[in-house]
Parts: sequence; structure tokens; C-alpha cells
Amino acid sequence: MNNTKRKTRTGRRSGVGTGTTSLLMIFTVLCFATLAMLSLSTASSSQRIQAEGLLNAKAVAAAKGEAAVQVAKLDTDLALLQEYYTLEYEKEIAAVTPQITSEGGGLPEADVPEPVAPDCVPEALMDYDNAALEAAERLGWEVTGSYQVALSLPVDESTELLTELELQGLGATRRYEVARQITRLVDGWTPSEDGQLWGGGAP
Amino acid sequence: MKKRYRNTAFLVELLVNILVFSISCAILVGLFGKAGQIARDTHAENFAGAEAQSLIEIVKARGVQGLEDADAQPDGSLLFYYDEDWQPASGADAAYTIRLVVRDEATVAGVLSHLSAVAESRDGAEVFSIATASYQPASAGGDAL
Repeated sequence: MNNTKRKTRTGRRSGVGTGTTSLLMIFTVLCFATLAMLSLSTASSSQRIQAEGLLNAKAVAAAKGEAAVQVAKLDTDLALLQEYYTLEYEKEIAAVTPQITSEGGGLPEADVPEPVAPDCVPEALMDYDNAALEAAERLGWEVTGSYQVALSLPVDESTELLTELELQGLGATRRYEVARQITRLVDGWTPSEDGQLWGGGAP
Repeated sequence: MKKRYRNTAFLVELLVNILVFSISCAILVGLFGKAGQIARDTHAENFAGAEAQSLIEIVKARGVQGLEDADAQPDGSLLFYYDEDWQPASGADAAYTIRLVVRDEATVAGVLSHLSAVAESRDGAEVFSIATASYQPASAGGDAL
């Protein structure tokens, strides 16, 4: 009698009865399914974020390319203006030099490196500055300071590329200097309510 | 009689479980494979983007002369070869290529360069592409951009 009871208990303790294998199988499949879904969602999220970053890099590169084209156009205009106003400047010098040499006690022309009378010389220089700013405005640049011009180009719906140039005068060794080139959020842009908290990112 | 019935039911259940488990595993292995493929594609896009941008920045800074290991093509473009891990490789072992096209346009005051880079896999599928321009003024011009 005791032996019969012991056998029955052992049989129950082994646990491999009808339904047990089903439960084990369901548990294992659910574990695998969870792992697979986690793996898939992680890979998809990573790809989406990566694609967004690369798209942004492409957009910034395209905007920088367009900025370079616009700078090339402006520099071409500045070079032509510089050529024209340098001739004007030399004409003014030629006209003023005899006056200065006579007022200066008969100095030979070779000793007068540049005219110093402020009321005679700056006309061509000022004309050049005005013409340079007008040329910039004509090409779509915004005048932001006395010699500073800026160009904003859209990168995407939330970001723009700002390029600022410092125009140099007629007598300077260079025609312009790049003050800065940055990406910034478009004025008045706010994050949408679908959870996106970033605005595109800077290069 | 009852014991035999129990054994048969257990065996049937086991067989059904094995069948369901096999089908589920086949589906899940497919999902794992898909996740792995997405991860590999992302990795390739990431490296292609980084390499293409790097090549363009080198050309902007030092010109085409700054590029080493470039395979010049008859159409004027430059080809760069990479293996599966995006390490420089020879043409025969290449899993990916980047084609760099530099087109210089002389202006009155300098040189405007149009740059484009296209990364492709071995089967010709485009992985990444980027295009930009840079401006190099003449000596008395200004800053390069």
C-alpha cells in the first residue's frame, strides 16, 4: 500500500503530465517572441534616427554649397567693382597729387606715397563701399551692419544656415572675410507636439 | 486502458507542441534575420555617410591632391574601395565604393568647385549620396568657403 502511494506521488512530482509541455512551449515561444520584437524595434529605431541624421547632414551640405555659390557671385561683383573703383581712386590721386605737392612745399611726386587730405580722397572709397553693399543686396544678402552682410538659407523646416561676411574697403588686401557660418533654429520655430524635441542638429 | 489513453494524449500533445514550436521558431528566426539585416544596413549607411563627408571635407581643405588611394576614372571621377567593415580595400575585394566627382568652375575672382559623393554597394545599390560646393577665391579675395 505504501509503495503504491509513493509511486503515485513520484509520478505527480515529475511534472511531465498532459498540458505541462504546452505551458513550457508557450512560455519559451513568448520569450523568443519578446526578444525578437525587442531586437527588431531597436534596429528599426536605430535606422530611423540614423536616417534622420544623414538626411540632416545632406541638407546642411546642400545649404553650404548654395552659400558657397552665393559667395562666389558676390565676390565676382566685388572684384569687378574693386577694379573699377581702383581706377577711379587712381584718377583722384592723380588729380590731387599736384595740389598736395604744391601745398606741401614743393615735394616731388615720388615722395608722396598716398594723398592724406581727407576731404579729397575718400570719395572713391565711399562709393566703393556703397556699391559693394548695393551689389550684396541685389544678390539677396541682407545688410546687417555698416560693412556686414548676412545670408540665411533654409536647411529644413526648423533650421537655417546663416552666413555672415565682413566686406573690406577698397584699400584692404582682401575683399571680404567670413565672419561666421552657423546653423540655427528658424525664428519662431517651436517643437511639434508629436514628441520631436530636437530641431535638426548642427553640423 | 486508461494509462494507454494518457500516454497517447501526451504523445499527441508533444507532437502538436513540437509542430507549433517549429513554426513559431521559423517565424521568429525570420524576425531575428530581418533585425540583423536592418542593423547591417544602418551600419553601412552610417559609415558611408561618414566616409563621403570626410572625403568632401578633405577636398575642400586640401584639394584633390590631398586624397590618397584614389582610383582615377576616365570620366574624371575618383573611386574609393571599401570592404565589408568599411576599411580601405582593393578593387577586387571591395564590397562598397564611393565615387567622388569634383567639377571646378573658374569665376572672375576665384574657383567654384561642385562636389558630389555617391556610395554604392557591390550590387550597385546606392547607400548614401551627398552634394555640396566650395569656393576658393583668388589670393587677394577672402576666406575660402
